[in-house]
Amino acid sequence: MKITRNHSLLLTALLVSCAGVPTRTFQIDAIDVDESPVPCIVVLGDDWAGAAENNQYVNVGGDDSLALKVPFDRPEVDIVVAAVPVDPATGKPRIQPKSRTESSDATGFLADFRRVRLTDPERNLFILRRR
Amino acid sequence: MVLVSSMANRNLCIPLASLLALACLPACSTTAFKVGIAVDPPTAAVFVNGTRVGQGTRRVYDVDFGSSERICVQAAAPGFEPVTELLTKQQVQDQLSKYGDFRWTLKQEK
Repeated sequence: MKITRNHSLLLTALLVSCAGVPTRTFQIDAIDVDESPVPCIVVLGDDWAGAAENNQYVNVGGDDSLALKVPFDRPEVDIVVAAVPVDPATGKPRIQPKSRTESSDATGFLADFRRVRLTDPERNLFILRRR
Repeated sequence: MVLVSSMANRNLCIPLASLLALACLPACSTTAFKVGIAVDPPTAAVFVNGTRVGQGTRRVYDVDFGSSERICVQAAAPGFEPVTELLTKQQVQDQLSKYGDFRWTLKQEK
């Protein structure tokens, strides 16, 4: 049987769908240049709404780290870590920023960004600096 | 005839591939390096893979890639812009063989 180009494409697509998208869990932490923890939202790609919805926060309830499951549907995935203002009364984010600018305006911190790969180290520290 | 020729090629290829694999083994299996890092200012904190390992004064660190393709080296100090470098094994090897230590001078914040 002669394998046509269409057959090859179909076979490749089938193999990819069988294998699924590889995922990796990273530990995310955020500090400032004084090494103090900074409350942050952790955004995958540009999905700010998804980050808030999935409660992807770090250091909001205290000094902690976030276990973030990252699907690698391409070789490199962008992670943005942006500061959030925390309401001291409730211990929850006062606003849910939808952009880096919104985060900087509300907190005075510049968001940090990293392009991660599947094979990168598990622990990812983001160091935020003031604007 | 074609079959015999292909068999002969295969017989030749297997030992060659094994030799090549063996030759590659020491280079590929090295995951740990002794890496000199110096940061100005010397009070800067140095982090490797997200863990604080020391301060800016020149020191040699044992860095192990393990199963990772890259390591993350960072430095931060109050009043300075932090530095983050994601380095491959090749980059670390090149730096060590050509230039020696990693040296960073942090920029003062404006």
